[in-house]
Amino acid sequence: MAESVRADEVSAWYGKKLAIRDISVTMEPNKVTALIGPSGCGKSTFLRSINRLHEVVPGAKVAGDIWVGDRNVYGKDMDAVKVRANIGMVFQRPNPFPTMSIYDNIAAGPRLSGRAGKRKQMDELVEHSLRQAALWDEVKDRLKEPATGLSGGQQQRVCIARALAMKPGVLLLDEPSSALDPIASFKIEELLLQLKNDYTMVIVTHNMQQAARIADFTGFMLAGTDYVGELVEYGETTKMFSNPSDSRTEAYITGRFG
Amino acid sequence: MGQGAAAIREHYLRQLTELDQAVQHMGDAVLETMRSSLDTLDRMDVARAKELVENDNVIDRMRHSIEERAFTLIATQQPAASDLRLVMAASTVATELERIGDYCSGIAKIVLIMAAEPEGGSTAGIHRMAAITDNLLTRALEAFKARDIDVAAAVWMNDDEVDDLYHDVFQEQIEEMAAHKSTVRRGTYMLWVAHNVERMADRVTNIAESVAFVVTGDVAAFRDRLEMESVPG
Repeated sequence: MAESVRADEVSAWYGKKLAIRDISVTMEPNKVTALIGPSGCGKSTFLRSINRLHEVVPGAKVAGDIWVGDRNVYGKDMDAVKVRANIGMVFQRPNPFPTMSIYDNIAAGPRLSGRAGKRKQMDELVEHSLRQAALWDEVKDRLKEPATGLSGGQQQRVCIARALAMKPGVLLLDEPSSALDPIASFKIEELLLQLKNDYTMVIVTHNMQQAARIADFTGFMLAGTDYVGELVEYGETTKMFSNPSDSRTEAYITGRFG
Repeated sequence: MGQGAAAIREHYLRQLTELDQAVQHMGDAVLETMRSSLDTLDRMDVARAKELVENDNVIDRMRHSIEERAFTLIATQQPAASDLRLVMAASTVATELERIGDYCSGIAKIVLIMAAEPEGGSTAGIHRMAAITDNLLTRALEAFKARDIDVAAAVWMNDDEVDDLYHDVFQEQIEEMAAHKSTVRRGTYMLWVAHNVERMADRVTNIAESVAFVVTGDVAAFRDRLEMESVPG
């Protein structure tokens, strides 16, 4: 079930270096939220703070709270692995497990987390996930083949299906189509619009037109002279791209800097 | 904030500036044509009227050129925010200016027909309408150039004056035609002229609205403003 994601004064560090400061924002369920901003503004750091992936980096830490529904991701008893099971993530480069078949890529998450049911149930889960990722028809006759044999766009959809197989409430996407050709990229966009019905989606993208096309809400992040990323403006995408409130947002989306 | 704007999208910014200037240039040309057409009426200058009718396609071409620039910018540069608003407004303003040009050409055509008619009748009302419309267009173009929403708002409000005058001129001409049958033909032509001027002023208010759109991003900025002001308390 799609749940809201609420960041409450989230800051993140790499060692002593503060990367993002006091980000507070609520990302609505069943909506696509895009995070845009120049390189180094902390978009990915913020995204990786949402599912506690940031803390995997040695010396990295996060302050503040992230609420997914009514659960605090950084709550005392919260297990990071469980958090990540409920918050799927897709990365810039398609990264299917290289030694696994298409089928096993999708089944890996449920199996590793002890959710593997009977063979028939797993078959259904794999099919359902691949259908959700709009990939089923293209791969149903070659499920046992290596996922790495697929095209880049297909591999990325395998990764999306793999995330969906865990039945997450939230899907985080870090530049999911920047390594793909335009057609594969449009397919991913179309897919995200469909998945909106079931998930809360947060996408980091350098492609502003992509944000304009698919996001309901857009957040603009920027690092100031101290190189610490902040959320400059957040609002409805149509407003952000036609009449932003902050002059820095205006300057960025019109290509005056970046 | 990184590099200066010019360093990043120099070509794009130049395209935007050229579009902006093309609209201003067309505005100046249409204002000049408006003055000429009314002057031609004043002096019943048939030769000049012919010229104006023939030159209408120059204004049409300016509109097409602006639309092409706007289209190219959208297709190739994906303008956003105030840039996008300018591109949209440039296209709208060009259309409105071109229509004003058509009304000028219409007046010149009436001059050509009227030249055969005996002189007489009052043109004072039409002159007042023309003077106000001239002033409105001049200020609307200034507002576009300076992105001045207050000047644009004043233009938008002043259109009523032209409408009121048009009503007076209409009455005046009808009464004169009723009293002197010999003036019916000429009076009818004058009504056409008055109608053309009234339509020009309407088009000018649309230009003023476009200025408001560029500045505020609100397509109905003046109506919103009017409603705000009319809320008691």
